[in-house]
Amino acid sequence: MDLITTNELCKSYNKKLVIDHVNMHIPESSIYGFVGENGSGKTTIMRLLTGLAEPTSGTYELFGLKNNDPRIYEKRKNISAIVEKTSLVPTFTAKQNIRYFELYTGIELTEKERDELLAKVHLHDVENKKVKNFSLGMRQRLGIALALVSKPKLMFLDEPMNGLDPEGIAELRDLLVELNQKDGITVLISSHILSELEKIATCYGFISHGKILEEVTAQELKGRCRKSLMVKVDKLQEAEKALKQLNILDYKVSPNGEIQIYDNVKIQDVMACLVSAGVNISAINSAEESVEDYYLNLIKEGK
Amino acid sequence: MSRLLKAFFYRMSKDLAFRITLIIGCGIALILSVILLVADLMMDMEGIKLLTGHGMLTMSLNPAQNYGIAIPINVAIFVALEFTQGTIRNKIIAGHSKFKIYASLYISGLILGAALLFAYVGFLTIFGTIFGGFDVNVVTILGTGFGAATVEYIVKFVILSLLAYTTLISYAVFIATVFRSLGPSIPLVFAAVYGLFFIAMIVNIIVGINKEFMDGYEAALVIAQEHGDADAIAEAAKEVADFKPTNDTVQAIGNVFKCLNPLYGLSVTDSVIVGEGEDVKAIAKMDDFTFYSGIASNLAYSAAFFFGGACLFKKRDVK
Repeated sequence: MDLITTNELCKSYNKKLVIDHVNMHIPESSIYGFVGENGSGKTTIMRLLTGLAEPTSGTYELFGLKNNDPRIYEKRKNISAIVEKTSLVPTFTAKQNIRYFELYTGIELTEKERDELLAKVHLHDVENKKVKNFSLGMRQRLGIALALVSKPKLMFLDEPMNGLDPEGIAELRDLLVELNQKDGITVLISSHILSELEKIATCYGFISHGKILEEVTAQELKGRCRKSLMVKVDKLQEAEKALKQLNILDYKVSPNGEIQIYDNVKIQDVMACLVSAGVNISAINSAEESVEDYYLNLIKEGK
Repeated sequence: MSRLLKAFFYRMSKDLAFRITLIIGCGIALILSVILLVADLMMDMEGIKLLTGHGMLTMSLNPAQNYGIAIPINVAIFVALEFTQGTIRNKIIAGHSKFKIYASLYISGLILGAALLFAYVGFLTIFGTIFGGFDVNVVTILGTGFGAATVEYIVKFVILSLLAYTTLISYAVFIATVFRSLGPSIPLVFAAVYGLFFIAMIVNIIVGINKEFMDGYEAALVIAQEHGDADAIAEAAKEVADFKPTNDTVQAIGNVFKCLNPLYGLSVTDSVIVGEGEDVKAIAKMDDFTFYSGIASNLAYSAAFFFGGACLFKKRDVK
């Protein structure tokens, strides 16, 4: 079952269409990796779905309710989000920010629960420090803590890894997986660190210039990502000639002497062919196309 | 809505700008009270008192005095910070409707304004009453302006003042919502308050000049006739004869501006002279037209800013 669906969703700013008839389907209990270049429309879609912006045309459904259904306000209580920036009161401490959040969301945490929440994001040692003196990473962590206060069923996280150190990124990754697997929380997450997204996403939406290019599950994507053989050689021209003789046509040559072969060939055949052509091989290994490569290819095909 | 207001009270209790303004308000009130008390004790002003309850009340309630303007500015800061710090976004994401959020900001602004106002006005009025009494017949230089007052005038002044603050706070919430930042909000609140008072003075001159002119020269003519001063009689009579009253259209426009200006009744203190000889004194008054048109214009402006702001907030995306 889809927790979010959009139907021909459009958004214009100054008559410029920035979200172009988007149809998205975000399954319940999934971690939906939202992938796109800067300005592709990821944040605008999150702003639309969280109610911060109104669609120019088209509709969306959240928890089975249309965006213009008045009952949707009640359902939004199950949502938390960090979109564009963490919204915090800089003159408050971390705990005061949590308390303020609790009051307008109608949630009452105990002092112990607040401590546990801060410990979860490694902010347990900043008792009296005001948020204005926090580093970017600390603010990001507190934003994540706030997002968890309401024990949401759906989380929107727009570049949540920005400002986090490698350890923080790994912890956030583990936390999201735990929330998803243990509590069934659905997460819509965008990140430029695609290698991190690849580790947690259960499905993907690829977007470019306001249009959804493709939606795939992680499993489908794995099947679609092309496998390749990388060979590093000293004589590129001779190597290319030899590969053509072996009927290998789908390959990519890099100026540093690397050849990426996408045709399904045996490693021994390639090695034998190149050696017989007098080409020295300094490295050879098989590889799989990453999400990043897949996305870049999608864009190239789209163009 | 109650959750939003609870959050507001929490924020207000920790807000530095609110605390500072409150301390400044009480500080100014204390210093002013002490200075006026000392002045009253040291100087003999022939029955005129500086520190009286009614004088302090009418003076401190006036929105154009320095502390009065700090109130809508404080409200504008409070609302603008919700936008600049992004906490308003969290409230939308948490499922509060935009109308409820705007209404809560508006109510919060009124509560914040009332707290700041009553701290200052309350302090001065109580201090003034304790040391100078609240007898409206006592002539004071402050507040009612070189005169005594009537209970009716004080009641009308208090009602109009509170409504004027409501208008200014509605305007402050509206402006902060339109601009969503501190930058333009503060100067625009300043400009509105002082602009309205300036316009009120100009309108008062236009509307009041005929009556004041005629009253002055007719009084001079009577005195000259009593004293049998032929030259003075001739001069006053000539002035009365030569006087060209302001054009009716200008008068009518002036009256329209008078009705449209929500601060008119507070900007201009009209008075009547009573008594004779040594007992003569001015008593502040406010005619019914000024009072009721003031009520109507303040209610209309407050409603317009509230609903205008709510509609605008609902229509626009939140950054």
